[in-house]
Amino acid sequence: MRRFYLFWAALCFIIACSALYLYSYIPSTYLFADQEIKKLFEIEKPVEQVSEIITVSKIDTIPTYVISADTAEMVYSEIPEPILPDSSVDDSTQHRVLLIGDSEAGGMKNVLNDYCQSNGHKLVATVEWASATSLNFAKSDTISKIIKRYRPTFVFVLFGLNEVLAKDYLTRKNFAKSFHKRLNGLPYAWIGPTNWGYDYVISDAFQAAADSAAFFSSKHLVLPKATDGRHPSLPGYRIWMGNVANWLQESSRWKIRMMPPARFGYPKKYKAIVLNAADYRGY
Amino acid sequence: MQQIIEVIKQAFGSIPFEQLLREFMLYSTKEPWFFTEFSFLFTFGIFLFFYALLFTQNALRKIYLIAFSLFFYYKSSGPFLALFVFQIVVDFLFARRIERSEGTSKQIWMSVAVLFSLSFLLYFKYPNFILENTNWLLLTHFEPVDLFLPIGISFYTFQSISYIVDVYRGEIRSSKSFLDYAFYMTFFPHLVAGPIVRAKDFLGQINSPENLDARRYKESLFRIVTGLIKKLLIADYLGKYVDMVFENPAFYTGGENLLGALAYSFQIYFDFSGYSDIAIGLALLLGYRLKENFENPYGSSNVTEFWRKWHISLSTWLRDYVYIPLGGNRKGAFNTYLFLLITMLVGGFWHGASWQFVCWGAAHGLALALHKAVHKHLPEGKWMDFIGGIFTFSFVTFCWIFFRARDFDTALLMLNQMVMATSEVDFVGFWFSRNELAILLVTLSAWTLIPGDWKRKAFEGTFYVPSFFWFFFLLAALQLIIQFRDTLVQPFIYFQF
Repeated sequence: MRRFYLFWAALCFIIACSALYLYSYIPSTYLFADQEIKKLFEIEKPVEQVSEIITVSKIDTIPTYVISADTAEMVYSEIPEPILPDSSVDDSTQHRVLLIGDSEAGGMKNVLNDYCQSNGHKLVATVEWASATSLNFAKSDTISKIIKRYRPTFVFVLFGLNEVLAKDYLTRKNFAKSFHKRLNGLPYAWIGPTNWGYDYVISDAFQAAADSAAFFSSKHLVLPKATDGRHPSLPGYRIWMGNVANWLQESSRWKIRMMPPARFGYPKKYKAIVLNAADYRGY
Repeated sequence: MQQIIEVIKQAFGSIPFEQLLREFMLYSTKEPWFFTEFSFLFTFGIFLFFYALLFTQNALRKIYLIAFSLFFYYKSSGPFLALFVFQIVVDFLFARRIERSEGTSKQIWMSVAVLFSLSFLLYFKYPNFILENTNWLLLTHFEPVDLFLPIGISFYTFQSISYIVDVYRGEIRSSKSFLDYAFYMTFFPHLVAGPIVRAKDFLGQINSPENLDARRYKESLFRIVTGLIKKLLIADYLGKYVDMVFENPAFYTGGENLLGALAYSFQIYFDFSGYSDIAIGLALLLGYRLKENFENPYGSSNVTEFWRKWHISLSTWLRDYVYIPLGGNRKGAFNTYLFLLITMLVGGFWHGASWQFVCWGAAHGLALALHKAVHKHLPEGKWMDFIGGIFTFSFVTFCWIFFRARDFDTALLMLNQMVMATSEVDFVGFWFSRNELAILLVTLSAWTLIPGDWKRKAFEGTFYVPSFFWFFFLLAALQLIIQFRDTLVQPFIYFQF
């Protein structure tokens, strides 16, 4: 009896931790007050179990949209100079870069291509999944397949514009966490969406899901808008990328060399994969 | 039932035991052990079970606990374990020598022992500070060195100094048993981030731990559960906003900066007091009582009272080993103020090797001196306490800005934003755009106004809950943490000091 409480306290810790561990293995998810009871960790489902997925070969058949070098040169010549990073990273590592995101990634890809080529990196592919939200990126294993196919050493992530008005912080954070796992430990830079002042929770949710030092919050950037009033204009993308490059070199988790491009309109040698969530959910 | 059995089979069948054991036994810089790690909590449960078996065997119990503490330190700091053990052995021998010596020889041995302990702290914590300032003063070009700071070194160095000095002063006898001294130094609940335990408070308990009865059991679990909630739910949640604001103050309005500073005030308190609660709770389970480290400090009506209630183990250490030896209040008013300033400068410098910490310490030192000079002339009463409380909290929060900001420029930029770019619209916007955070800040602000006695009574009220239910409290707290935690749990703030 003298040591009863010591044994009981020991069992409290052992049983509580074991119960939470075992709960992670239960296939179903339970709700409490309309909230999902989360698990200590998530068991990855084998890829074979995911149905209705597009295959890598099908991705390869998707047409590539490329702006001709002449057009790009002409447009760029009218654009202001980017914000110059204060210092360059003393790292000559040449990365295989993959850009993943929604329509804003589509706008960013050519600017990123210039930065990559100028700094010795290779932009191997871009995924522009128009109208997609974190739900698509979380549930679909398309991104995993693309990563497997193109073997990047550094990933840029840029989505969220289609959900800046969302207020369900926990749900979005969970989606983002699921997507985060699909990066499979690769170094990455996760760029938050522009939001024009309407961001309620989305940047915070993504930052909480990602490694916060690898997340670049764009919520307070003031960028020139495109005529659709929704996306940045081309000068806007350049200013945006200038800020990202500055952050990448100075304070991001994985610093890579990203000095301003020596020139603009580098040849587009990357694979541009264009998807649309309206006709391809991905899961 | 069938499903439960299936799940258990599946769970156990898919555990890669060999890999887990390898990861468990090895130190990982990416995943050092904290009290908040599930792997720690589970291991602690197993450890406690065998501890219960050995509880009545004094020598075995001590050896078992020392071994677990050393393993805990290894999982937190890796190879620095060897250095830590070396320091323990040498300090033990020094203390024995000091006790046997007399007169000047005794003084010399004490000085050598203190310098020996301090030398490790100076080597690991302050070289870049010294090099930077040497470069600045002498126009030299020394390159900064890349040194890993062993976790807890500031705490266990101060602990060993207090032991050496107490033996020198004759306040305690040096421990004859190396096992007892090693037990005192390595005791894992206070090892990596305090509280700084004094030998005179602890050595006497080592051989007679108190039995865990129902009340102590409930008190222990209460402290552990509240500590986990304070750290993982409140401090880490506030930390996300704090990190954003302190990273780029210019991106935020004056109001948002102001609330960022307020959030940091609460973050650092809940982070550190949460750690202390867990440490005290774990020690209680093992039969030992550590002294309280916080006593409702934000409810203080002046800065002197604040330092009696904030990080009590450090402030009393500074009082006993810096302020009083300097002369305390025995050498006239001016010297008293000067000694207060010096003491707080040491306190600031202890926190980190940068001028920001020195300035933070100086600001508190000046405030303490000012309060000492004028407090007799101040009117008294409840309203004065209330006004003094708001003034003290504002001052402490102001000082935290310099403590947290990455450099002086950032701190000044924050202050500039607060003064030049604050309007009432900021707070309305904050309320609507960050509603949960705003509610939390209002709740915590109201919580600081609740007297400490009321909180203590509420705490004691929980002891009426039957013992069996405390398991569910622990389970619910852990699930709550999983529910709201970040992907990456932030290390305790005081691990860096």
